[in-house]
This record gives sequence, structure tokens and C-alpha cells, in this order.
Amino acid sequence: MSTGYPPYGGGYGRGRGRGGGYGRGRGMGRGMGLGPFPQQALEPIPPPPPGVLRVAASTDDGNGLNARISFRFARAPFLTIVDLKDGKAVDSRSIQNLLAAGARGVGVAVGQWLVSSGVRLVLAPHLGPNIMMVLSQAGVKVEMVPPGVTIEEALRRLRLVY
Amino acid sequence: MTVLTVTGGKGGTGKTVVAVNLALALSSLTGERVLLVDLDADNPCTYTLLNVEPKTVEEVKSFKPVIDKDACVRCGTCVKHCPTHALFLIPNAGLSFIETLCEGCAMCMYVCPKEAISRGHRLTGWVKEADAGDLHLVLGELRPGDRKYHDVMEAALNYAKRIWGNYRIVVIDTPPGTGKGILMALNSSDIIVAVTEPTSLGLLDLKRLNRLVTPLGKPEIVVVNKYGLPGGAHNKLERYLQECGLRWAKVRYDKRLMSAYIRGKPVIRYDPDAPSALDIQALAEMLAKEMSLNRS
Amino acid sequence: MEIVVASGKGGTGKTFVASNLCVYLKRNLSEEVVAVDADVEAPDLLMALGGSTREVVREEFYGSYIPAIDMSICFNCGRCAEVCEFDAIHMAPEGPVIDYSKCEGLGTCAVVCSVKAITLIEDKTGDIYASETPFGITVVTGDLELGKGNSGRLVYELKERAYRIASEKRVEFRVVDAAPGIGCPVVSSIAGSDLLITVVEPTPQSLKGSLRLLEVAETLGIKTVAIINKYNLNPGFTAEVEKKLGVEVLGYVPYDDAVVKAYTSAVPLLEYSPASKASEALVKCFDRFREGWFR
Repeated sequence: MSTGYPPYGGGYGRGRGRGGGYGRGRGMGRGMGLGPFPQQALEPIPPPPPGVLRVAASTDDGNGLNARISFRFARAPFLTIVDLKDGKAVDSRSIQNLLAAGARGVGVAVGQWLVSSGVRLVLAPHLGPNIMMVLSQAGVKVEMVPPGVTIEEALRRLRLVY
Repeated sequence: MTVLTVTGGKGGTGKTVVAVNLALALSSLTGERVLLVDLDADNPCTYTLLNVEPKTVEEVKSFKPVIDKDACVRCGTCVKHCPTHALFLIPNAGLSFIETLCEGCAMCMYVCPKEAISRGHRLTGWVKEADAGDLHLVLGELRPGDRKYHDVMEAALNYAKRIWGNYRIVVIDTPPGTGKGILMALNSSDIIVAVTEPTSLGLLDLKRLNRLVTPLGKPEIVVVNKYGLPGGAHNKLERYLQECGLRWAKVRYDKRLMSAYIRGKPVIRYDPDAPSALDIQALAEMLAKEMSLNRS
Repeated sequence: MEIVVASGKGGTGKTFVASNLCVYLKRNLSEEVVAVDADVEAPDLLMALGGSTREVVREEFYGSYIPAIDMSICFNCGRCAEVCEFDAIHMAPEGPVIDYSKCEGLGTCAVVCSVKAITLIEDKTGDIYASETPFGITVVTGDLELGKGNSGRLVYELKERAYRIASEKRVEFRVVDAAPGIGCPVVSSIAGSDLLITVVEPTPQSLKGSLRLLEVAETLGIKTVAIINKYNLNPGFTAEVEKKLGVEVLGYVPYDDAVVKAYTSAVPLLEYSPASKASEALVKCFDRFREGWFR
């Protein structure tokens, strides 16, 4: 899938250019987006193998299964993924939510990431309208869970792990 | 031709009331029509005081992508580039677009490797016009919910600029604030009329406004509206004006002004002997002298 | 819980209601509150709540990008100027010239440049700071750099910061004082809130502004109630206002000189003059809110 445009990769560190009377700008060290545009981007993770249900929640910490579910979804600091098979968590990981610092459309960006990463179920106390639209169009289910509980506890209450 | 911009920083100080009445007073003084430009795109109110129904003369549009679903190969390039994530891709369902997030940058159209995105338009607002007797009114109005009010302000101002050569006096009424749109209006003006009120919050916001206005080096007159408001911070305000060497005029706090306002009438015509009307008349005379305009 | 106070039109009394709501929550409900000043082009909530006794946070906010062109690489093809939707780039003999007052910082120019001569640099658009105040309320203020745009982005960041401060201190309530109008910063102020209180004066202009605001609130799905302020300046119109608004009215507050005097002293009205007519009426409105939400 060649796009003919500058590839993924580190942004340009040069902060050179005209300040134009707007004072010092910071160079774009954190250009993780495509080409020269300093868009916050996060690569989706490869989807799980068949027979595995991938569940996601946004969490306030990165403690995997013990991570606590955040009140805010798209802008929470971590995205925690749990892969379930036969009522057991076969894999779990917490990923830093680099999309949270985006300007606008963070809900859509996170929704897109979840869909591209093969998530089939999302646990959240509350979701904004944009992310809801993305998830529902992709057929991703949502279960309402209270904030503050660990993801493991939430899965237990939902009888997804036993 | 002289452009007067009536601005204020804080909301509710009475910019629109001053702008409309001042424009009418200047019109009477010179015997000529005055162009009044209402840039309060969120909630243009000038026409409610002039009892006219403005007509649309221009639609303000911005870019919106039109996706050719047959040409789209779902590569996701546009999704990755969109700065506001207004595009998303669902496997097996295709590309979707969220209009409320779109900022109209057209990047998607340029990056698509299959040229599957073409130029469409989204309506952001309108430029409207009305003939109000002694005044000619041009205003910008934002479509509720749309975020691009600077675009609407700019379109209205540009429309006004195309016709303002025909007028000796132009009065611009700005919305509250000290941001980009206000700066744009101030840069287009010859004289700045800063409307404030004699309260501590009003003074705080006037000081802030002047940090933006003073460096522009244009003549400024501060209008203290609701002068005499009981309990107000008059002493502090007058001290500030004196310290900064600012010229100022007062418009007295006046129940008769309020009466005219709620009836949707300009006090200078409806109740010309009211204290506030007399004060605005005096302000108009001060400005006319400043602009070296002859009385007719 | 996040409560936002907005109005559609300036000068109706948003800061008045927002600041006194904070005092009410603290005094009458014994709840700690974080107050958020989202009127980033004319912030005055901090003064309304007594001014800063101690600043606890101060951050610069980089809300925009501006393009920088490396003239040693640029060969004047003019493509950047062609694609800019905002007319912010013009070709001059010496090369492309950027009009920063029109630039939106979205980067189309950078992406189409075939030699990668354009990079985007973060631009400071404002400050966010949090202060403690004499009446025990933490105020988080957003302050937009004069003449800059993108106020909506600053408001969003401001609310996020206030949310984090409130979470750290385990504070339940946030009260947001919105900007006037219905533009971008107001939309950002009300998005995600639990309740919108719209403050309306009994004038056709204020009603018009509030109706436009209600349209926006409806598309965002935010529950709205109203307070009719300075009602005695035009009592005959208040029934019309209530009917046209079509939302629950918490109550009516009369115009009262005490409000102005309280501001002059930088003391919230409920503390300055709790027995004044406006105070009593305002407390009744807030009691009504309490009954509605904490049944």
C-alpha cells in the first residue's frame, strides 16, 4: 500500500523557521505522525487470533488487569487491552494513550484505534457521541461499568471471567 | 472615509447600543447614510434595534470532502492525515466522515492516492444586508453549532470593504473578546471606540483590551456606558483613564435607555431627550470633529 | 459533576451566577468546588471570587501550529499557496509569505510540499493557571493570548486540567463560567457537562441569544435549565421568556445594586450581602437545583 508520501516515522527535530512575531515556537520533537505533520499517532496492535475476545477499557494507570477504569474515555492516560478465551484472560497489556493529547476528534481517533486493533468489546462508564458512532458502525459492543473498579473486577461482574 | 470600530472586551457593556445610536447620530449630523457593519456573528443584534429584516447576500462556505465510494480503496491515508480525525475507516464498511469535526483544510483531498475525494461545500453562515433608512447594514451570522465564526466575521468584513468606498463613515460593531476576529476588525479601523462599564469587572477587561489596542497606535476613545451605576467603581476607572491619558466620554446610566432597548428601538430616535441620548449625541459631535466632518 | 453557566449573550450575569453557585455549594452543601473560567478572552471569575491568594499551577498552552518554511530548500513552486484553503500563503518574488492571522495551522501546505520545506512549529496560544481564593474555592483560569485564535482548544484543555485538579483533590463539583455567545469556545465549554444553566435577561436580544444557545445544547444532548436575571427591569416580558425557552426555570433574580457593590469589593454577593433581595432569590434558584438533582 504505497502512498508515495513521506513515510511514518520520527518527526523533524528542526525548529527552524520564522517566528513571525509570535515568539518562540518549540521544535517538533514529538512528530510521530505521518511525514512532517506533528500529529499524535498510535500504531494499532495486531488483531487477536480467532477464538479470542479482545476487550478494551481506558484506565487511569497502566497496571494491566489491575488497572482502574477511568471516568473519561478518549483522554484517559492508558488504554488497557485484555484478551479472553474460555472465561480466562490469556493476555493483557496497558498502552500509553498517545492519542489523548490530540487537538480534536480524540474520540474518533481512539475509536479508530480500537477497531483497527480488533477490539470487540469496550468497557466504559460513559462514551461521547463521536466514539459511540465509530464503535457502533464497526459492531463493537459497549458495556457500562463504573469508574474506579479494576478491569479484572469489571470483567468478573460481567461474568466474562470466572 | 473613516472607519470607527466599536469594541469592548467584556460582554454586555453596550457595544451594540452605542454602535447603532452613534451611527444614527453621525448620520443626522452629516446628512449622509452611514454603513454599519455587525460582526457579532454569534448573535447579531443590530437589526433588532433597527427593525429591519436583513436578506442574505452571500453564503459563507468551507471545504467539505466528497468521497467517491467506488474509487476509494480504503487505504486509510486520509484517515491518518486528517488533523482533527474527521474521517474513520471501518473494515468491511468503508470510509466515514464526521462533518462536525471537519476544519476544511482539504488535506484528505490532496493525499488520497486514488483521487477519490473531491471538493464539496459546507455552509458555515451567511452575510446579510439591509436598508435601514439612514443606515446601510451589513452583518455576518453564524449557523448555530458551527465553530468557524472567524470565517463568517471575515466574510462580512470583506463584503463591507467592497462597498465601503461609497460611504464617508463606517461603524463596525464587534462581538466581545480580545481574540483573532477582534484584531482583524481593529486592523481595519481608523478610530477605536472602546465601550466599558464602571464596574470592577469592566475595568479589568478594559485594561486587558488596551493591551491589545494601545500597541496598534490608533486614536482611541473610551466610552463609559452606564456611567453613574450605583455601587460602581467610578473612581478607580477615572484614575486609570487619567493615568493612561485616554480620552473618554460618558453615557449615563439611564432607565429610559433600557426602555428603548427592550422595545427594540434606538434611544437617539425614540427618546432623544433622554440623558443617554444626549450623551451619545455629544459623543457623535466629538467624533465628527475628530474626523473633520462638516455638518450639513 | 460539571455544571456550566452560559447565556448566548454577554452581560446577562454568567459570572454572577457561576461565582455565587460555587459559594452556595461550599456553604450550603458543604461541598468543595473547582471553578473554571472558560471566558478565555475576558477572564474575570477569579476577581469575582476575591482574587488570588496563592497560585498553585501555571502552564503555557501551545494550542496551534504555525508553518516554518526552510527557504534553502524551497524552490518557489507555489504549491503551498495553491492548496491553502484559508488564503494564508501568497507567493512573492522572494518566496512564499505566510499571513499568520489567517493561518489555521492544519498543515496541508506541509504535506503537499514535494521537497519537505515546511515544518510545523507549536505556537503558544495562552496560559492556564489555578489559584486559591479567600473563600476557599480553587479557580482554574484560561487566558488566551491577545489577538490569537483557537480559543475552543484552550477551553477544552482548561476543562481537562480542571478535571484533573478536581480528581486529585477528590472534589466532586466543577462549575464552568462560559464565554458569551455561541461560538467555538462556548461549544467547548458546554460539551461534556452534566448540566447547563442558561442565564437570560428579559430582553428580546438576550432571549434570542439563549434560544440559539439552546439549539447548540440540544445537538450536544446537554440538559438545560434557566435562571431569569434582572427580571424586574422588564417584568412584563418574563412570561414570554419562560414560554419561549421551553426549559425548566430555576427562578427569577431581581436587579440589585448590591451585585455591583459586591463586585467592587471583590466579594461574591452571597458573602457580601446574604440578606439582599438578589441573594435571597439566587439561593432559591440554587435550592431548586439541589432538589432537582439530589432527590
